[in-house]
Amino acid sequence: MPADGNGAAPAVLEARGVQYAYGDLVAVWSASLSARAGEAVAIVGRNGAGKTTLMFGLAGVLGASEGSVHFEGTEVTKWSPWKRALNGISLVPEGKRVFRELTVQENIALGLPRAVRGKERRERVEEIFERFPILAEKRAQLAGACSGGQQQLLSIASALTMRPRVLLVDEPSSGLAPVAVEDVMATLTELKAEGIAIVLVEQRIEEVVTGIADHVIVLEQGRVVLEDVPERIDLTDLEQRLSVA
Amino acid sequence: MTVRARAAGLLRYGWTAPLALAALVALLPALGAGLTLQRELMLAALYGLLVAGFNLSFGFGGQLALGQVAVFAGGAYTTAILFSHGVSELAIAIVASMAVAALLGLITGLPGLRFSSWALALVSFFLVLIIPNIVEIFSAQTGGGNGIPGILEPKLFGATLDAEGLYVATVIAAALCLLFLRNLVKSRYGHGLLVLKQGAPLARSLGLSPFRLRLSAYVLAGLPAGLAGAFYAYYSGFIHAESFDFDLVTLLLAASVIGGINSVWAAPLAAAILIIGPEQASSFEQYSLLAYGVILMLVGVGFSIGLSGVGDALVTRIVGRPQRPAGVAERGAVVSQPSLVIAGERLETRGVSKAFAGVTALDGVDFEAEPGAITAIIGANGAGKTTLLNAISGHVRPDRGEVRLGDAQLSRMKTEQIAKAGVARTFQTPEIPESLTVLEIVASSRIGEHWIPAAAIAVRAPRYLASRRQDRERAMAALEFVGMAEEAALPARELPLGRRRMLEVARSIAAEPSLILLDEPAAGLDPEAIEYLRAVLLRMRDAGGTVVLIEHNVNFVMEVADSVYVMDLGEVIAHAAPEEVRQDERVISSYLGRRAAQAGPGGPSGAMEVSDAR
Amino acid sequence: MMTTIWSGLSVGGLYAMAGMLFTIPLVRCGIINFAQAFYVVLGGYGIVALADQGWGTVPILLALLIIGGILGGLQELLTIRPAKGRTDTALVTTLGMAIAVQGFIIAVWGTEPKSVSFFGGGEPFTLLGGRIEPGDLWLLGTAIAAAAVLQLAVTGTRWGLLGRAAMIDQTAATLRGVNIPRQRTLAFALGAGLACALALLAAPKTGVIPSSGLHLAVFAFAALSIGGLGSFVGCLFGGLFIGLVEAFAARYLDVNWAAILVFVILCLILVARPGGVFGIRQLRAV
Repeated sequence: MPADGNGAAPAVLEARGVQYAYGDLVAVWSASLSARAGEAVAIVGRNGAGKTTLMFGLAGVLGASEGSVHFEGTEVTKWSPWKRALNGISLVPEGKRVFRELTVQENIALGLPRAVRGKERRERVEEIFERFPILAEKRAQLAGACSGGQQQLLSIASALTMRPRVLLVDEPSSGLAPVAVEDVMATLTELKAEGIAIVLVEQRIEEVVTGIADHVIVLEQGRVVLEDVPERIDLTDLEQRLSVA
Repeated sequence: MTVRARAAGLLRYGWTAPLALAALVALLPALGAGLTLQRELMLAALYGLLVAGFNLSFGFGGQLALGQVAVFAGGAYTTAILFSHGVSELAIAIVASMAVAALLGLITGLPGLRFSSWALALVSFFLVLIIPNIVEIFSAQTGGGNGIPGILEPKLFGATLDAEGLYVATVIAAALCLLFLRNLVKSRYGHGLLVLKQGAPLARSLGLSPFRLRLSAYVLAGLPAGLAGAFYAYYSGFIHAESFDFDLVTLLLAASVIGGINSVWAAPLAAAILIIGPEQASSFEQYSLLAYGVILMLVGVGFSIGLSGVGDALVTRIVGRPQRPAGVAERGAVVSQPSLVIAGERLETRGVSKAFAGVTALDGVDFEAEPGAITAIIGANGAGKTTLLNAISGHVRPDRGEVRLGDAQLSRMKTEQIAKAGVARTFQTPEIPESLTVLEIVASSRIGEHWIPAAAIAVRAPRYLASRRQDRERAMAALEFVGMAEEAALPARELPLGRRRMLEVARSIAAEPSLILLDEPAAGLDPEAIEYLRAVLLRMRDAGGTVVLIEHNVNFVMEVADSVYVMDLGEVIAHAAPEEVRQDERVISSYLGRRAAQAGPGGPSGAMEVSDAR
Repeated sequence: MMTTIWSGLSVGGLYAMAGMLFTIPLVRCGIINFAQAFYVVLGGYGIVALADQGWGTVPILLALLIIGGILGGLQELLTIRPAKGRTDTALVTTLGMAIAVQGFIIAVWGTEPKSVSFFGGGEPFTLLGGRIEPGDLWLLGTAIAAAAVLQLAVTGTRWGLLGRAAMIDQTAATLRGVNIPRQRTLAFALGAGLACALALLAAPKTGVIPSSGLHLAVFAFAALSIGGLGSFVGCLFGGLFIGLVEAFAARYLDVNWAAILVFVILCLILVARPGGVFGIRQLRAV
């Protein structure tokens, strides 16, 4: 059980004993996690450990076969992905997943709910462009014409349009040049400071454990095998554990 | 011996079962079956041929080539026209009809080369719609709206066939044709189609020409339809355009979907169900079309695997997964796998340039890779790394410059020719065709090596059997090389990412290439798999291979590469040994960033990097 | 000759609108509903049945829209949604629905042709030197209006943006708040409802017979493909073009050559420009 240093903030997103399966192949067994406002939870593990499955599950793309998910006190286990997205839980899927045939601006405007109209619509889009000036330059270009790093930023930016209180980010650094990764991590740190709860999956252990994470969860073959604060984790031990069969 | 082992042993001879059934069906008249039943079975056999041929394009090719009905019409009219000119010898009619069908298959298949599934379906529907129009235009030969009546008394090698004789001839001919089709499907030809279905770039990278493969599939799919047409003319006795209409297309689709779109033997079974079933209900005629529509919807939603898939699933349940592929020696037997020769050639590019829609992707790139060495290319996204790889493998044609491998000039060759010249590559996202085992995937790299005519494959000629043995041996050798021999019989699609990457590496060396191009092989792998990959790459280097790889994992590149090229904005900005490259200012500012540069030389691990930063 | 032009433009308007009907679910969820053209034929029979009961034009129109909408929605709920909207399954099940509708028509009404007269009534008159009937003018005018409205909706509205996103990447669209299943159901309902309603203009032109479904489907596809997959304006031009080719070929060559000519032109255009003239999506090439 995580013993956190900051017990004051309530959990924004909480998963209790969730299980996710593809048909009869169980990918995640009885996982639990809590994400608090202004904090980042990092999920690490080997390939095939179930990290992306867990993320899709938290976002609602996969239904939980057991367990429950709570968001700001409400049970959301049965909520569809669009309902979660419109209510404050946004997922940035892995792989720079943007709408390549739409423009950068259209990508960003996509998440705005129907209720937001006219002037307010434009303002919210401009808010996003202020945070990401690189994208503002390219606003009329097709997303597919942007570089990999820009696409990853766009993916994050589009998730932010929906003003999430929980941001789920799946392997933001995968396939990016180290220089671009630094940009992405800096953005996530900013968001953390603004009070958003972040759940982050990363392959590169040292980056998250020593950088952005306030809690670390280790998944192994679908089960949570370790859960602690970074200060108490032996990095070499962890790396060994994930390297040895 | 356990029941399982016994069943597995029997399964080896499972291919004889449909033939035994066919023999039984052929003998039915002698067993007392009436004329009505015989006619129904004949029709089932003929429609079954149509469906089996259609499945070649649909199930294996993924294309809804409903023009099969037009091909069938062509075959039937050919025999009918021959009859109206006094030729009623079946042997001649069959050859003529099949020849016409092959040609029609080619013509109706041409749209499929360029079009998506929807467009092809549209064009084939249209073709069926205009059959009456075409028949009208050639009414002198075809009898126009009146058709050709009174087609009777077929002769086989001179002897007149009565109703029963025609029945037996039909069943035997159909069974033989289906056998050949089945042989074709379960062979390198069928595997080639599945590779093509996965994607044309993959097919080309294995030395296959998508154009030729597709065309051959259309021709081969037409042959059973031609055969069916010839017999149909005598079965029906009267050929007119109305027999080849939308209702027949419906039946074709329904039978294909019910029997399983990949099936051969289940096709006549499904056709039989659709023909004989409705006959039993007397007032069914009126509702038949409605029923077919409902069946299609039900089956489409619920039974996407069809009858043959159910059969396969049952077999797997009873017999379990196969332990080792047939024809490969048991472990422990003293048989040494022939070792693969992957000694490479020297690769050299000079001044290679490429622009896409005004954006320069490559700007005069000079690049060299030696045999027995690993050469890595790193750089930011958009730097041109993958474009350079594509230019070498031929997936992209350079605007200027040349690419040489050994003595060969690759720059002007087609993609599949470059593959045949000894260039093998992997893809960022592993391209793994469906329905194939690990061994078959690795062996698929050898399909483009040497071409075996379809006829030889269909009859399992010695030439084909010898090549199949050699393919399997080489494939096993490649799997041994990467340490995947135990997984040879597993369905490839079920492997986790790391194993699929390794599978692609095995596939790339099975054809004994002169150059191996790897596109981000370490992406998304966990540390254990990366270590494994490193070991295999070093093995490839030591065997003399010319290995070129693109990577973002800087640590991995530093540990494995002998020489590193750094690209930015389409140009090479540095080329040196790993440690030097790491300290280069331009490289740091454009790509590495300070932290990665601060990690010291001499095999930095993650822990070391962190403690440096702290 | 003007008469031939009017004839071509009016039937072309019909083909164009049928093509637009196919385009609606296509730009909302990436699926082409084969049954769409057969809903038009069904609508024709609906008009016959209701007109016999003495219903007026507007009530018939409402009935067609509502019943068609329900049918389309049910089709999606029962045959597309269970398969999670997969397009390869949809190819087979929408064909199945098309066949079932045709089969239903034959089962209930048989194969005898019926006829329906144009609701606007009226006699043929002369316009710009050619003979034309009021119904024909309506076909052309409605087609042009429909193309304009639909094209603007897809490119300029939030509704259109959501549809385009869903067509590109469904899962990613759900993560941006797009309710894909509901969007798909509504698209099917809209398409089917409009298809049945189109019968008011189509049935007087083509007659009310079961076999007109296949003809309409094929020519609508041709309009769609020539004009460009996903473009309503493209459908309009494609449809009018085909209509004119058919009319001129029938008049000056031979009736048989008309269909063959359209077929050949379709193939040529698909080979030369797979995306069609105005297309927003490229069809796969080798």
